[in-house]
Amino acid sequence: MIQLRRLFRFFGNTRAVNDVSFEVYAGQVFGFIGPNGAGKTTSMRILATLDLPDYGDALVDGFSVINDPDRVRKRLGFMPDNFGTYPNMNCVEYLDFFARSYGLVGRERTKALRHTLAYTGLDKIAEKSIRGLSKGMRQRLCLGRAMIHDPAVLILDEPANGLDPRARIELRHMIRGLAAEGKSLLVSSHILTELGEMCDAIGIVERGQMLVTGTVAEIKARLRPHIDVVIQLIDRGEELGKWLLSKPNVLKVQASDRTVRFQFATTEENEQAQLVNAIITSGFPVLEYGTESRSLEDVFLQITTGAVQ
Amino acid sequence: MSQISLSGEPPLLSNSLEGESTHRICQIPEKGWERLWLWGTERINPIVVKEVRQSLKSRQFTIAFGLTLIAAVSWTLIAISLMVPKIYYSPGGVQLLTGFFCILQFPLMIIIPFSAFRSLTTETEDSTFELLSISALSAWQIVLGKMLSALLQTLLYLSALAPCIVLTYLLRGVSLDSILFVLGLTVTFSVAETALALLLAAVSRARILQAGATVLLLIGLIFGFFGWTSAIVGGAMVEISNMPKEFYLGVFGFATVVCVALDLVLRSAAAAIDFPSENHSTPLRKRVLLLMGIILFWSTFAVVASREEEIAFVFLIGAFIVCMFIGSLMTGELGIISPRARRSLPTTFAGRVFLTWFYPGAGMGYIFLVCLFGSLVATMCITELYYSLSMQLNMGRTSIQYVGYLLLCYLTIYAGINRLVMLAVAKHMPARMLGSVALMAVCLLGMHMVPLILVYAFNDYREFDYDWHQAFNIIWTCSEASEGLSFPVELSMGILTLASIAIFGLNLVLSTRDVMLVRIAEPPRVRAENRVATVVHTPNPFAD
Repeated sequence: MIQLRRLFRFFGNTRAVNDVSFEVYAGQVFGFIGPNGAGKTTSMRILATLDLPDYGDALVDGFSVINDPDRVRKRLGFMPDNFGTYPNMNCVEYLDFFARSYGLVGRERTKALRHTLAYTGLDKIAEKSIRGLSKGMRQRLCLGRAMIHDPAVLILDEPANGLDPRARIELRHMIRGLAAEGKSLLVSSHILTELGEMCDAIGIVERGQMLVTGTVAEIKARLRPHIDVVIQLIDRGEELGKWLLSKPNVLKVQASDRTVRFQFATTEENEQAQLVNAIITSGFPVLEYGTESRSLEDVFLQITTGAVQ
Repeated sequence: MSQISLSGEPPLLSNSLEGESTHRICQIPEKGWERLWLWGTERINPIVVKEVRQSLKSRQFTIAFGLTLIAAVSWTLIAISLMVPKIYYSPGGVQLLTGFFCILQFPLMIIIPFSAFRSLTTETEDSTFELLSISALSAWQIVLGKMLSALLQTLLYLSALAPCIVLTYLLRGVSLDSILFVLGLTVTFSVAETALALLLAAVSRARILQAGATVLLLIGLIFGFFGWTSAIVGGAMVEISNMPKEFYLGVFGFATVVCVALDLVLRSAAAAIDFPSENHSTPLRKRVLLLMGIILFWSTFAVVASREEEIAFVFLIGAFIVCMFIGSLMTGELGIISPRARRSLPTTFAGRVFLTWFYPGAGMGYIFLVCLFGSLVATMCITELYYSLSMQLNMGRTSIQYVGYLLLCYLTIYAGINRLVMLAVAKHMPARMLGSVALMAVCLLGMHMVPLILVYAFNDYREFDYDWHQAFNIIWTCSEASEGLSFPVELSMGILTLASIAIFGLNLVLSTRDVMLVRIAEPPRVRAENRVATVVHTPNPFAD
């Protein structure tokens, strides 16, 4: 649904976007991660037809953002980081204006308005002036504006910025709900734990370059092709440690009477299941079997260098 | 009812409840006439609807409208009390009407154009312009919407003062024709100012330029306001009931030129805020061609009807100023023809011969403008020559051929230099168009002032006669040439001819790449969608 093909954008000597390529499929939430100044917003603005690349192209539903921006715009909803509102309007007037701007008329328009107000939870404050809205409500209003014409693609630049925890959880549900409808979502955020939970795939950019793309699990596996396992026992821990050393793919075993830690050099779930089964059938009194997972933050810190341009 | 809950999955947007919002905007009305009204309002430009909702609620409009009403009522009371008892037996309409026009001009010639300017620049400042530009609204709809909302405000101000103006008619001394004529002129000036303000706002969207543009606009508006107010106070309120037919013809001619020029200005403003890959050039050049055609028609008509050659000079100089301004904008265009624009290039031999002039790009724009102005000068000269021989016009001492030729050379040189410099400027330079206009202004100023200052300095700051070193001074050279040919003028003409040929030739060579471009096919995805669009019928919006 979204394709970036070798995108470049320069600002003087700065390469804001430097050979970025990736794809987002229908029904997928793609997280765009990177430090400040990495080129996330520039890439998103190019996709939203607000800027032109120096080289390369980006396609939305097969249409070029350079040559067919009018067709792209009908299929795309964009929620920028700093979005504007009209202070003399109320919420429903604001959404109605954008519904009209997207050519919605008659029942189509009223249905879209009712849907959007209900979906974003703004129906109770529909007649409240935009001037009096909280940050969270303004974010909801802007998301409503982006989805008023039911676009197939949504680009959300830092949508959770400045939201309280409850509003963030609600936003996450909204985003997953939209993906469940088959929409493609490109989301950028600094809150990596949230992205890890809501995204089907992520791309990490730094200094304009895409460092890595894939699902969170794929990237973790690529960076660290083993899992850390911790087993809690009633006793016989040291005996289990010796027993594990004879098994394939088991590394760095540390054992005490009640706890055994080791690295299992595979990410295959079947092999893990077979090992657990073998431990149990060998008669070890296992209380708990667990893996120490790495967070997206760990992955991000490992991949990026923290360099700015 | 909110569909967001912390427990459980959120419901889907499609196939879910429509929501229960009871706001009138979310409802389709029951009554027939209300549905008809809604149908009508949904066909109105959304920007107009937004501006009405937004602007008419604003404090600025309330204060300006209130003050205008208070000023009108106060002037009525003051003027009538001053005219008593003369008012019973002598006509007092003109004095009263002059006051009302002065009051009306403040909102019409300052507040409304400035509001239109601010309306567009505020969209950039508040980051709402980006939201507008990614909607399905075209740049033309945005600009037209701003213009129409300004017209709506004009109508509101006019309706507020309508009873006062009717009163002046009842006080005698001024005919209905005169009132409507001056009112029409005032509204025309207001509309022209608003269109120019929108163009200025469109070309100065970079925040750094907006402060300068605001000051420039305010100076222009204040000049316009005092100029037209002085004209009205000084006697523009003429009685037109007994004017000859030619006067009405002249008004009609003026109206046609204004209409085409306004369309051109607004289209230019729309082009300045539109996406760069769109082909803006072809429609704009067609309008420039139409404008020049109308100027040529009315100038020929005026010369033949009045048998005065000087009228042709006025039109020629007017056309030259317009061409210089348009030239400075055209040469600011990107020198690249986007693949999207290339999809619409002509394919037939005839199409390539006659439509190449309309290709996008600064180079073709320059050649188009020079050729167009050249054709205008040639046609004017031939027409003048023909009618002077066959109808014995008052030829006088002046000669349009020399001045026309000189103006053509100046356009070729100044616009050509502008194009060559802009060719070297970065593709993504902000406010490229405004930069191009500024470059033209600097170039004109430099080419006029530097030779003058140098010669003054070498001449011990004493006056000196015209000579070849002032060849690039438009006003002085044309003024000398209109007196007839002399040796310095002939020398200047030689210099200008050589410079024109060199600059035009260089631009022509640099434009050959654009001429060689051929049409490219639409991408398969676009073709597929176009095929679908041709078979899908428009659904009933109310789904009845």
